Amino acid sequence: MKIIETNGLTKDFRMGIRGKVRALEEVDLAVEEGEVFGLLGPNGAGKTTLVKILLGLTFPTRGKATIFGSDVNDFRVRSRVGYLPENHSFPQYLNGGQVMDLFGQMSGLEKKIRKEKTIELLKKMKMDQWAKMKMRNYSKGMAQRLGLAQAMLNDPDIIFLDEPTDGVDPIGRQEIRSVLLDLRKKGKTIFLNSHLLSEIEMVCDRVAILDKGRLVAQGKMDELTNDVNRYRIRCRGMGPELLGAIGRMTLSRNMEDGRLDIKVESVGQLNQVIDVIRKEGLLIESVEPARRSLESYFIDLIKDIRGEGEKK
Amino acid sequence: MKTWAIIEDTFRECLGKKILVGFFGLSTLLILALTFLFNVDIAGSQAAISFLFDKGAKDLELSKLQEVFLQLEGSFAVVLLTAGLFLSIFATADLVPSILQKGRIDLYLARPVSRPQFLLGKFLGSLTMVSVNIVYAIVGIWLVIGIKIGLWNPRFLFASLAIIVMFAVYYAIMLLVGVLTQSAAITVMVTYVIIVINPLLYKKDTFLLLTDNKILKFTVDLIYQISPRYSQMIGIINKLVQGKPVESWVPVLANLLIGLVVFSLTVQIFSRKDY
Repeated sequence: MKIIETNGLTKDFRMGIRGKVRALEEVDLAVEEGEVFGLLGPNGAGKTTLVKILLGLTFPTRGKATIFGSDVNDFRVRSRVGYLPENHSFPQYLNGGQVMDLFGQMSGLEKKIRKEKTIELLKKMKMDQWAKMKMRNYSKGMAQRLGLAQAMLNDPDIIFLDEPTDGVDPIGRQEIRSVLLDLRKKGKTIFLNSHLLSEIEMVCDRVAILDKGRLVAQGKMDELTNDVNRYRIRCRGMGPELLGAIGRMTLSRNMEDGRLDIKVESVGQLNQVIDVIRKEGLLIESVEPARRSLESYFIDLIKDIRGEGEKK
Repeated sequence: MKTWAIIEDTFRECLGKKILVGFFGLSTLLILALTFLFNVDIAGSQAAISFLFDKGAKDLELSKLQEVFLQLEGSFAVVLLTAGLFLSIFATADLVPSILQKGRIDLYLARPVSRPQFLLGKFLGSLTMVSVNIVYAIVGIWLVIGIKIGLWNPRFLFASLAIIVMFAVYYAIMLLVGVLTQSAAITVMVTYVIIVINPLLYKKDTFLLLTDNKILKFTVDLIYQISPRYSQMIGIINKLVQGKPVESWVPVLANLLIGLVVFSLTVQIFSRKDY
């Protein structure tokens, strides 16, 4: 079931009297129930604008966006939504517990439930001992943990997280990741907006990439990071002669730590390589498609797009 | 419950920023000053009044003293209207621009709360905070005068209502300017200018005799029509407190209408604004 759907979403911001800048252009996107969806893009790609439109904070110039089948501007739909904005600023005059109470109240939660959820979530985010401390004394990492806690307050079906680990130390990041994975286990949908690609790679099922307001790629993590026709064969005892033969059969080959990385033209060619190795009487331990990191995919993609742009 | 959450949040903000304490302190100072400013000894229908640093007391009839204080109450009400308005505007000017800051407004508007409801909560929160202080000051002064000279004028209490109405009208304007500019300084400046030019606009018929320029006349008239009737409210409050008949209630109605129109316009603009 599609939880988020956008069709031809376009957003122009006015700059000066007559100027305008296009932040989003014809974005068609769909997020399925229960998936962890990552939104990537260079700075200024339009990621935050897209999230803000989905939350009814910013209005699209053209196009349509829905959450749970309702228009994103229907405020009632937000009772099923949690949100942690980028560079958020909690009211400095409140303490952690009061922040939770305020946003719980604004979400329509009863006092008893607010109290219970506040205790539970502050404990989960290891913030319970700081509940009485004023926000002005919170560090960035502490505010971020509290931010995540308030985003989960109304037990939302979908959580939007804009740079959730920003300013958080490595241990804190790991803890936040484990919270996200825990939410996924519970069937919650997570919309993650981050420029930390390794982080996205670790938790996301599917990603979309925005560049200059346009959606330039989207798909499952495996599909995107799968290096087409590149395979990794684990096999011991391959001598120089055999490697030479394989090299002549394939487009490229690289042997390292008992791992043979090859690039072939087709699956048929991969099978020919396997046959050659087996003929030598060697034991193949594993054959798997080679993967590259999301970072390398992302950088190559953006370079490709921008390269084409320059040629034009 | 959601509107109440915003009202409560506004109150907490006023507490946190020491606005409420400042207001309360000033009102208390005013009441204390009045308490110790003069001393009255009443014996039957005669009274003796002495002011702070006076060596002797002045004897006069109690009814005469009460008449003087009845007039003074009218002046108190006007002073409170002016001072109360200026202080309230200054104190509350930052409440809307501060909440509209990037990173903060997102947290509020991402909740299942409509934008009109959010703005209404902010409006009511500020209005309640100012009202509590105005009522405290007026009731305090009323009690001091009542206890000291036995003048229990319930009409004086109406002054608080008039001040609150005027603040509500000006706060609607502040909301509009705050939403448009997100600047506390501009909000204060614009509101003060609107108050200050009002006496001039009130006398528009006099100075417009000096010109035949139709555009100027139309413009001045238009500004007058859409401005809160501050000068007329001063007259109405003075008369109300002293128990004199009020010739026209139109300025009160006009003020309420202006406040309502400006608030509705603000809601419209706020509901379409990108954050």
